[in-house]
Amino acid sequence: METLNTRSPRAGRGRGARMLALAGAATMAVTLGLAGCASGSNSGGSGGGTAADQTLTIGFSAEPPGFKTGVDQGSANRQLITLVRRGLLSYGPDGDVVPALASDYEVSEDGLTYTFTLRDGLAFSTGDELTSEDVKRTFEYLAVPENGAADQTSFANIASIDTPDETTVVLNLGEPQTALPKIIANPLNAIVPEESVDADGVPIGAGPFMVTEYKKGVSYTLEADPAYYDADEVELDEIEMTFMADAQTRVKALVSGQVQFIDYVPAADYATLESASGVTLDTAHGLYGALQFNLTEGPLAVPEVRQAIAYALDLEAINEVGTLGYGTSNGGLPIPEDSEYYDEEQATHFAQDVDKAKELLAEGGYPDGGFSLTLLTNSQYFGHSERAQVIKSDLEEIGISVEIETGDYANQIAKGNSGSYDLMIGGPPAAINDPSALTGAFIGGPTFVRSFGIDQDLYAGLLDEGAKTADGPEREAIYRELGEIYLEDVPFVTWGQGAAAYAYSDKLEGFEMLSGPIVYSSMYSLAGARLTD
Amino acid sequence: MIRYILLRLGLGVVTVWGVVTAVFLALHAVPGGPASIILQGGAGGGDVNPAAVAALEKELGLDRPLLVQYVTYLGDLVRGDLGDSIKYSAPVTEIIASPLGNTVILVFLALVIGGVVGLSFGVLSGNRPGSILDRVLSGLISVAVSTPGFVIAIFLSLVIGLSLGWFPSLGYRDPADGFGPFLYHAFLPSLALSFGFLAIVGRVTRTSILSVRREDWVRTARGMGLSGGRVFRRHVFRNAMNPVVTVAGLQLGGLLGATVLIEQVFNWPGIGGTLLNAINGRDYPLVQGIVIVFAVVFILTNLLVDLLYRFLDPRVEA
Repeated sequence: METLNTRSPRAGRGRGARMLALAGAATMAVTLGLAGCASGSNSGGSGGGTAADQTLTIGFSAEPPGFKTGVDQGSANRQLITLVRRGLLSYGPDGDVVPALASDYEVSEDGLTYTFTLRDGLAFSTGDELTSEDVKRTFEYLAVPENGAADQTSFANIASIDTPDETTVVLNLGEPQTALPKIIANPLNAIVPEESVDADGVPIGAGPFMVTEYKKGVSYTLEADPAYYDADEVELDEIEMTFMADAQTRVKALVSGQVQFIDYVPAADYATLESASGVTLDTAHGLYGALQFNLTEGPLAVPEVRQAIAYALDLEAINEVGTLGYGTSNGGLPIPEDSEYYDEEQATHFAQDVDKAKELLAEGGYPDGGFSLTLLTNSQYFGHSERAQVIKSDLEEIGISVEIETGDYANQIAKGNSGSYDLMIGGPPAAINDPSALTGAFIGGPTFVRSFGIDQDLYAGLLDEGAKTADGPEREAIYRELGEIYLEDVPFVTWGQGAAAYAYSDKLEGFEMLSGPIVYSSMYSLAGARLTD
Repeated sequence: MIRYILLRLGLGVVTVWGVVTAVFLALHAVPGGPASIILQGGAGGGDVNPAAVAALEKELGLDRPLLVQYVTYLGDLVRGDLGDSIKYSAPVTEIIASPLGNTVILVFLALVIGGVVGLSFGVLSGNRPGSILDRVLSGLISVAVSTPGFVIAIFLSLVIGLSLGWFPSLGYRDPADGFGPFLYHAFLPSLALSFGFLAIVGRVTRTSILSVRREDWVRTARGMGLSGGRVFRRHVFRNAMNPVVTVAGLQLGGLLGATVLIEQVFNWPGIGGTLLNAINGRDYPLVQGIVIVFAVVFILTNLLVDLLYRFLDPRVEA
């Protein structure tokens, strides 16, 4: 049997967003019920009976670079954490926020106090108790800038944490933060014990699985964690995760039955897997990509030149070569199509128009272009160099000559961090399905995930206001205004969402792929998955 | 003799020092450092406070001047300490032990397969020059010598492994879980690795046998009425082996290098893959440690080949 599940762009619009809209706007405290939390073992589903051997074998795209608490160390790290650790909240099958270690929470009327109630008898895989003190210590660690947590500013906004008893945690915020539950559900912000990593370098947590063996450079073996709060619902006994850095190797291993599940399937391999029997290919829209600028000097310091570049690009061609058409071709702010904050007019504002681009170049003081730019990319990941070629030929149409500079990803990070580039194939960071995640695209230290020399003051005020405002028309207006400023300033040119995919044996049931910024949290659902005969 | 060996070992130490220095400088000249890769390196990640990167660099001692780092490294090296891997926070010797073992076994199996098959091919065609068998074997050797190892690896993996299912198309079993399954998984990668070696051994053996067969002493031995088999064993084969041993010894370094690609195709956790990951992760001590191991293996093999050469042909002097 062959199946292709392509998630419709709007399918992911979750209960979570609406529930959180309520949470923020309500004048009464909102309580998240237990009812929404079942991630479902689908025992009555389409497949056969439960297989006797519940060992899932995974061909894993990378050996994680390490496990620094709260730090966004890439998709491999994040995926392992979804299995091994748990936060107070988690994501359900549709990407909505569901209870996890906390059975429920209440938000005060002014949105400044969050009271979480932990489940009884929580424990880490080591057997040590998990109490409100662990939550306090973890959240306080995440707030320290030097610790490098991705959501550091959100945790720094928590003015104080009270722990009146072992199962109650009260967060007192400095300012309201609408997206806080989504941030707490981010696997990076899971609760960790004092020694968050064991002597072997493997992460410890209170998740559905625990690492029982780590062969460096080879594999992880995970077993179901009997101390997990929902251990009865976990059907997989063991997960054998073998590192397979090469995408073709992963595909070969899946097709030959040596593994039952692979992650990070590049678009180039979709066709092979679509035609393979006994295999399901699950695709969804992934993270936004963007052409980043070094805005500090030269022609790129002139807004008209950046607008001209935006008009020169053929977004559909970029989507075609970068994702073989499985992604999207949206301009404007990097807000996913399935978000209520997506603005179609802004997303299509820079439809390719070579004449207009040439006019803008002339307005900016560069008639007929006549200058050259370097375009930094890497040869390590599919779609990067391919997009660079399209951009090069599009810009040459308007008289800008482009020299592509490629190397490994480490080279791109280093040059991106230090601003040693003119143009760069990149993309804004995003970890949650909320417009406040846009902050990372504009604000923060000089790192390769942001255009170098971006005028942060231009955006800071509105972003701050947006983060504080409850979902609704007022918040929509804030991000629309932000989008208008973006279209004038063009600090980077978004070209749309990438494509992401997992592939697995038809015998696996209950895996739910998430979409957009939270796509690499999809393995949360393996806690409720099972293998059939 | 002892003096000769000591001299060669001394030269070897100088060579290793040169290699270490070159690799140290090259690694540090390449953009990108381990701290930013650990904190930002994975695809889809990377919004890290620059303060965190700076803090990690300080913790790893990477904020010190390059010369200080170099002298510290050399000092540790003299004491036999290869340092700690940055990614794994564990001694380099500990990290490379298992993958090195896995690669050595692949290389050893490839040497056995390539040696036995190559010698047989060379002997068979060298003794019957111009025959159909000679032409067929020489043809096969030409194919093996001109096809890149990774192409053969992909072919073997897809055809023998995936389509026919005779051997695993990729993967690895820990020798601790039984040597049988380990060898079963090691067979195809070592076979792929053996092709280039087999071809060189076969070709040199054939040429060498052909030339020795024309020597005066072989004609004399035949004239004395010795049987064909005895002439071959005592007079042709042994004398023909000198160039084969030399070439085979030189190939060993090439075999180690060839494992990098072949391990990728078969997802074999060997030293080649470890080196590649260490370079991508800018794990300086790990890269340097592996390069030192490669250099030492190469130097010792060359020494061994030279010594073996003297044993095979007593006419060779120091």
